[in-house]
Amino acid sequence: MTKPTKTGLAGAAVMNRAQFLKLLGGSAFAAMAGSFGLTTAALAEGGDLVVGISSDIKTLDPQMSPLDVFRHTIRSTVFEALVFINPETLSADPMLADSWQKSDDGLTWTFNLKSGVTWHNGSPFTAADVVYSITRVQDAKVGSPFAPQLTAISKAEAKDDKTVVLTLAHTVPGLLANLAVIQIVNEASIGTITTAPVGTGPFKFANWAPGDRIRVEKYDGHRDPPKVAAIEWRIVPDSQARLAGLQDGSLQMVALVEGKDVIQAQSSAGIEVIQTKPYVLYENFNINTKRAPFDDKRVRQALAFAFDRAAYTKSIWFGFARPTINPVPPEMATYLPGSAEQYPFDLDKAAALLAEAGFSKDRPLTMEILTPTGFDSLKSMALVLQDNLNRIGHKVTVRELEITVWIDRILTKPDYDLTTNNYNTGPEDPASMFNSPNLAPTANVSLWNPPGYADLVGKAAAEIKPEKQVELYQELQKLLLEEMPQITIDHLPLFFLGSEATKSLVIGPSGIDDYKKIAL
Amino acid sequence: MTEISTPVRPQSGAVSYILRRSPVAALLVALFLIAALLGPWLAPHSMTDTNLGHALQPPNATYWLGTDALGRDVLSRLLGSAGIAAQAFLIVVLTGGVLGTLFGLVAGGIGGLTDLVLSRVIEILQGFPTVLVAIVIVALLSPSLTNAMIAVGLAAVPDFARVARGVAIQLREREFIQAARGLGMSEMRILASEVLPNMVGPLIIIASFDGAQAIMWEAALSFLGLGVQPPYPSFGSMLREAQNFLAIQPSLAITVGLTVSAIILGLNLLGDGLSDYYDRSDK
Repeated sequence: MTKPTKTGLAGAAVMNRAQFLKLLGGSAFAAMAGSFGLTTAALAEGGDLVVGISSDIKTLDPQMSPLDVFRHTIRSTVFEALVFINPETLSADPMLADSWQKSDDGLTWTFNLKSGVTWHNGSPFTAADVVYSITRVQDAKVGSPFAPQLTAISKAEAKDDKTVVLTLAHTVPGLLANLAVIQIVNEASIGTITTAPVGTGPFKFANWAPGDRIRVEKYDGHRDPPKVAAIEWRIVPDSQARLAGLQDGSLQMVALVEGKDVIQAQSSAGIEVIQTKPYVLYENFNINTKRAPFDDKRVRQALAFAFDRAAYTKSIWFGFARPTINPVPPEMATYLPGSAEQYPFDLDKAAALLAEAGFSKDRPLTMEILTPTGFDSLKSMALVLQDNLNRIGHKVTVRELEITVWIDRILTKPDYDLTTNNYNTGPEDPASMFNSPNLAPTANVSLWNPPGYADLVGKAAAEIKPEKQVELYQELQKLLLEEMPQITIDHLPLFFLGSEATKSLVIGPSGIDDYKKIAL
Repeated sequence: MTEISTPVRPQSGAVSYILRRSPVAALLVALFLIAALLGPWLAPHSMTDTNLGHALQPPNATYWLGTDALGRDVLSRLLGSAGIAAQAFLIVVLTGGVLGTLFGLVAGGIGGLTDLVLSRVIEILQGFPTVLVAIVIVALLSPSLTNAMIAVGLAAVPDFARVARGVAIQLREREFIQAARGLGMSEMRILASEVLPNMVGPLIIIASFDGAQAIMWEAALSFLGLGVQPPYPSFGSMLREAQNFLAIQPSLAITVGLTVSAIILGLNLLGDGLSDYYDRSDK
């Protein structure tokens, strides 16, 4: 059935797929979709956009969802922020704020809000809601993972119903990018935000059946109402079943797919690949730097040498990802030149560094790598590192965990050695990466905050002069690459698959997408 | 009472009967045993070494059955999986066989209140949903082949117990047992030395069917990530990985699927053959 080829992955893919479909006449896809509970009834519901996602969300509260990969579902539809980062220009477009001015010293920002905006419960949206949302994120008792984005704001006040004035403790060039991820919530209904969230977004929350589906419906009171009647996200952990759903029409879109899905979609008619710029996401291993022996940077550097990033991106991502050890993409002005190629794959070097730290074949390093279910590429990443380390005599196990259990183990109550992960690079603002749970000094998954790091992050985020800013961020990257609290593997775009109609989805770089233009 | 009559024990060898009556079963089971016992020596490549540069190759001269997404040799992993399947078979047959036979033998051989109580215990065991019990055990302990298979073994206890009990009840009043009793043997000794040897045939048949079931359960649990943990191969985890590449490299899923089917078919045919054999020799 298949001819032996040396490297012809793509060629083999097309040929095999064609043969395969001829063989099964597409019926296997339909049968599989049926067995996974997808029905074609969705089409008859009329104007519903049904989207397949691989795992559940952790919470409906848009200010509390730190590592949910699919938090964009609720955050992009039910809620809105002051501004929206345009994925093409990477600059801020108006969203809830109509316009804004900053004072000459850059310390006072005035936002004029859109008028006529109402909450889903009918009450009018006012400046007080913005002030409440900002103070809620900043409140240490709330413990929002977005708090580091707002450290510079010392005061938020409502000048009148439609004007918000933010006073900054120091200048922040990336303030708009920071505000773009702070979703504005409704104070009156805050008590029920985790069960019945109320937002100002184009869709109102309908229901969430954990482990099964999330549904939002068109909000007619929106100033720019969406064209679809509802969006329903179905949790279909199996990637093949999601593709099958697209083929038989029970799903109109699949969110955040991997290289193997893109390859399979490219060779089937009627499935479009929707993607962002190629450096919006990075995959990495987070290392628990508080736990011995991973508190020893030689061990962490050894792990970085023990992974063949180039081979991984080529085979697991079919070349759609780009290998790098530096989370900052070369496209950003702050990138440290030449750094992406550091730590080339070198098992001898890894073994030598581990030996220095006291680990050898006779005294093997024993560790467990966690990986969340539903992310096949992350699992492959874990298996490759496991194999490489086992080959030089160490004892590595890989454990796959449901995403909510996984979040508990790595974030809520950290209890792990290593975990696979992925994060947005935040290309719109160099500070973004260092302000979010991946690297924020106050709270990051690697529990890494060496002396001086917080100061450096603060200084870099406040620096207005471009040359000086680049210098500070390069210093940060040097520190990161030397200390290796996380092993970055690759940069990649966000991929969605969908029917022709869904191509008008706008995927934002920081996980806020725009579904309003999609018409079925 | 001069001669103690014993029931007819199988005279001609079971092996030659199977070879003659179902050569397919003999062939498939022999291949399975060779793979399981000699797998590590026969494997042309490592079962666990990844080689991303050689990922997803179709069958070729170097990799006879191709490679998986991490560039591991499929043939070598299949041989490893056969070893795992054989372990699953053994654990289930030993757990289920030993416990089940003991329960059934005592219940059927002694009868009365003991039988009543033990039979109810067996019925309760039979009522447990196998997968659920397996998942609970694995969740409480940790995912591993042994933990998963002990759960499946417990589910096999009633099968063995019912057969053992049936045979024991049948034999209880037979002349040779009466004679042994007359000679002053204790009930326990009668069960062990007179009744037990006479139920070996039926128990082997159950073992071949439940063993085949065990291999299926092992594959199912490993498919769900609850059985054998990476990097070690198992039919279930191989199938799950293959499923992700169904349209890119269908030969992966087909090879693994055919292998499991062949093993199960072989064991079931063997069970049928043995069943015929003992039926015939009982008459």
